[in-house]
Amino acid sequence: MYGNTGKIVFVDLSRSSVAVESLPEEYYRKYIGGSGLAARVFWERGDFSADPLAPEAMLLFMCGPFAGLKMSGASRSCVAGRSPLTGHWGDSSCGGHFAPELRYCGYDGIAITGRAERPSLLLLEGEKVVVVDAVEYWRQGIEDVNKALKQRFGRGCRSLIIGPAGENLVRFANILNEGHHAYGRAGFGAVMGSKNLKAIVARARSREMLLADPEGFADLRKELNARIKDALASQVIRENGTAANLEGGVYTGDVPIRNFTSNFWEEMAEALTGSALTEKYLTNRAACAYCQIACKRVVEVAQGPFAIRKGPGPEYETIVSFGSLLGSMDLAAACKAGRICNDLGMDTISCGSTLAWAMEAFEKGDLTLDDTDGIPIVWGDMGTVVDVVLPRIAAVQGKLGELLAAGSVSSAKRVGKGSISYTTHSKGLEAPMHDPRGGGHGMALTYAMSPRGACHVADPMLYFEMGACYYPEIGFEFELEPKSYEHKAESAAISVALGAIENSACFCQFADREISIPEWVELFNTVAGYGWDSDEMMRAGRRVFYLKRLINHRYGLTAEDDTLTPRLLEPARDGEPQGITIEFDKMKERFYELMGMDPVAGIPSTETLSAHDMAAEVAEM
Amino acid sequence: MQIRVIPIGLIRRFVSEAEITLPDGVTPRQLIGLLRIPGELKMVAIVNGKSRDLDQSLEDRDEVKLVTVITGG
Repeated sequence: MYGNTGKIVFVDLSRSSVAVESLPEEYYRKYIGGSGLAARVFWERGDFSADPLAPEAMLLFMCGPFAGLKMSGASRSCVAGRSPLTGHWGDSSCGGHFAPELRYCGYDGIAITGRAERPSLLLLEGEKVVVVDAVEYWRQGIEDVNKALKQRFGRGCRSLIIGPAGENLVRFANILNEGHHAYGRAGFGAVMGSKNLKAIVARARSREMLLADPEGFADLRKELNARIKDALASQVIRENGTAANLEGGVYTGDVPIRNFTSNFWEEMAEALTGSALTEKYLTNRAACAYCQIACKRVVEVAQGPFAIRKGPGPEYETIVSFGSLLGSMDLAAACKAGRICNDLGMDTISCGSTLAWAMEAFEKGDLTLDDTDGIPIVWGDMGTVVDVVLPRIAAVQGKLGELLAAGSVSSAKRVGKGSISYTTHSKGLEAPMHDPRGGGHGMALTYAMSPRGACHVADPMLYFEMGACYYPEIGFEFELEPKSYEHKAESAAISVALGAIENSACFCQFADREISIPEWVELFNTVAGYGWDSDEMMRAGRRVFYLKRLINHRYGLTAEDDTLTPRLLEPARDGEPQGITIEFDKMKERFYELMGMDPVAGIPSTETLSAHDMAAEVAEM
Repeated sequence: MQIRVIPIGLIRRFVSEAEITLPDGVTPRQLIGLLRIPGELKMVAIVNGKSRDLDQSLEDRDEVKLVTVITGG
């Protein structure tokens, strides 16, 4: 096998047993790697009756074929399984430094079941894999554990760590690599916590990879690395981070404000935008392994109530989740909230969205001081958020902590009083910080169709609608008007397949945009030897999408679940998108038609499955 | 005619805020070209507080905010 190693580590923590298995080569050609391959393993071996936090639940970490290559954008991997936040399929992607290390250890992935008797960590030293006692790290924050693990296993080791939130089963707990890069979404930190697994540590002994066509790849790599580095978009986010054009987003209505009740706030635009972060708090730029974009921020807030020492800084999503979404334009507060979430191990998007829901509920009187342990939850009160509320959520402390640690949907169901109507999610996953009413109506469709729930990185529709890329070879050459339904279903049908390819290849969406379809095909062929043409590659992408839909169907999801909450579909109240209605049903109906999916069950038809060589999967249904 | 140009966000990289004199009938699209803003950026023009078709002519004393829709993750 080329690129991939073909080997997966299966760990049963209940028995402290480790077994290495080779997957059929056919799985890689059919499901690519990363989240696609994870879905195939889960489909075949996952216990669908298991609660996400039960020992029987399977937790998967998976690389794509490109992990380990010295190439911008290639150093990502995914975590996957049944999400404790949503109850159905979930996956989450992470950059940083873990994916290359796992590949250099000789593995494509790790599948974990069981529950360790005591807090433990999984240690990979080259091909050797052992379960090690980790009691001394339990109850500690991620920053300290990361340092301690480097001290114990060497500076070159790469770790995935959960914080107290994961240990306490907060439903949106995340997993961090190097204390900076997150598998943020869908709550898999809680799954690690439920398994008594504090960390996974990898330390490779060599850095070799076997490629199908090393010379062909070397030429392509040189060309792509230069292009990715020099692209205008790369220069911009290198300079000012992923929030580089937050200010522009405010003017188009893309940036959510006060729990998606507003789409314009002029003063906030300048206060939170990426150049403000650069000028006020940036100390260094940082990058994932081998990446020349370097979009990561290192920040220090020297003084004031939100002072933090030099360390990981916030992404766009965190700045908005702990900024305008909560009615705040205090950038230092967003930096500190992000830092606390990183240390306690919580997804900033779901956490911020749950708080935004709570602030609106408190304002409306649906949530009272009796529900919040006497703590007022007020728009823009970032002191209370940072000092009081975030620690309580991570500790699941008191009525307030217990309520919010379940995420916005469970919280709203518990509070009742119609508060579910102002949650902002699809399939239980809180929407990211791009409001489809302003950012683009196609995103409303792809948020709703994404198997894991509302997501802007499941596929590149965000970039399609901003005119950042065109792919004439696969039929995407539409000039899209963001605030319209025209060509959106047609674009989404291409976008979900391309997104499945990107996330299965575990490639960064910032670097992806510079790669043409023929180059994608060449990458897969020179690295992994898949022998594809563009049709076969796109078929693999659709196959991954379809399989995740089948998994969700087994959890009882149907086309009815392919929707957004009323707040995200009602006409915007102000700003650029004010008064415009999203023609959601029209787009949705056409999307099913184009994708060959049953409009009631929400899964691919028998003919569609057969056209994608999924007879084996159907037989296993 | 006199136009006030206000770059927003990323567009400040290419243009500074300025009062500029233009021939009558210039459209926002032509203005974007004259200012040499890279063609790969999808643009929105907000004229006197409201978004305007890029091909609709500007008028004397208009205030034009230039915005690109490009965004990060």
